[in-house]
Amino acid sequence: MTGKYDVVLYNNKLHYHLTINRNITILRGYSASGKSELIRLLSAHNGNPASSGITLVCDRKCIVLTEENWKLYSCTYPEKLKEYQGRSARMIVSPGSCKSIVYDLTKLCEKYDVNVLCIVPVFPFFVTKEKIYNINKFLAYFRNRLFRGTIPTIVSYECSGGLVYDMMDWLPLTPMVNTTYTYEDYLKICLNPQKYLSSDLKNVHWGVFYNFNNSKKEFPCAELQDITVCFPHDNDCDGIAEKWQIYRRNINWNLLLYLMVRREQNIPIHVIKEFSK
Amino acid sequence: MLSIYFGDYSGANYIDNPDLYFDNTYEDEWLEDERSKEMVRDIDRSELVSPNLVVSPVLGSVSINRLSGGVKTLIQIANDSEHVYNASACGDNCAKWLLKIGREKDILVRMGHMMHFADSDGEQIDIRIDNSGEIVHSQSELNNKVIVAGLLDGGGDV
Repeated sequence: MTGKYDVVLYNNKLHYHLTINRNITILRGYSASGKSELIRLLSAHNGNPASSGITLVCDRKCIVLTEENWKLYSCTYPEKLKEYQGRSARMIVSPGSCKSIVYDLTKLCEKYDVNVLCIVPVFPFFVTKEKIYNINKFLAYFRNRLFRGTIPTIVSYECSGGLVYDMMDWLPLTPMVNTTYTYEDYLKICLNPQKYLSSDLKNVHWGVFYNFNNSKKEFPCAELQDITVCFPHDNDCDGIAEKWQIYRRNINWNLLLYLMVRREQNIPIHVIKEFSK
Repeated sequence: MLSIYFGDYSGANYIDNPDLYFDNTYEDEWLEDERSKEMVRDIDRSELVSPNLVVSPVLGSVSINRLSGGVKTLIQIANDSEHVYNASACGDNCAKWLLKIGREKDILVRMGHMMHFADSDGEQIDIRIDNSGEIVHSQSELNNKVIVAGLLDGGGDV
């Protein structure tokens, strides 16, 4: 959605004036604050705009999707692909329920002979015959327009910190990209980042590490003071210590952002309590 | 005690849309009850004159169907123990009434969001989390238990 839209809706008792400037705006509030009345009024107006006695002023069409009719609408909109018959279209599909959307799109594109370039942000690379697209490079432009301030050093429990840098197309300001730790070791870093992030790695070796789903796996590991750093995305021990050394030169000590991530397992309560300190 | 089931509730006696269900099933005697009148006065700022009439300062004289979804849900929870109602139809101003009803009898409701009970006049909170059977006594304790156990992570409806 571009810009913002005023919605004015009123009858003899009630007068609503909303300014909507987001694709999804959630209306919430106390019971009896008028949320349902707004929907009731709009629905009554749409049922019979001319003689409902309800006035709606808006530059765009306003409709009420109910449990009965939303499926009908959501089925009708993809049919708009018909307008692109024999032509090309580009789409970015949000990751929410991308599988079903991409499946439906593929079927519809076959049906209407539309050549669609469909990019799904959960799969960062999109390969065509001519080119490899990195969707995060595209989206980082827009994401950065929403960003204010200086780039932080993300002290991340696992590789999600690296994902953030990738999604923003930033140079990683941390040596912790694509690393993971035991909860205990990560908390040690949080308590004393200066000590650990200023140190070099020692004794890079293949070590057994428990993966997120609690399965044992061998990864390159290294000693960092009294803790172990694991590199689950690396297949080679060579160059790991050098990479750590280079990245740690970029640390923004003025802005450290701590990132604890939960995957399949729940984080133990004592770890959350320690982390929240 | 007030028991809350967090997340998707799949029991056959579950009412997902208490507002609609109320309109088609309410009994007059529920609306003659003094507590129902108090709840309507407190939440809807309206006067429940009789089972067929509500006087609202905004809407004027209206039918019972125009009561708020929150107060309809509370009236049903207070009077109908056969069903489990979706208390996510209630705003935070209904929290103290849920606790109040829960102090008088055992009730079970379902929630798909985190209600703020802390504003309930600083009263003692006694809530049983039906998913685990745990009992909590403060908002932060409730938040911790629900978030740590991921009870609202199912991605289902609110």
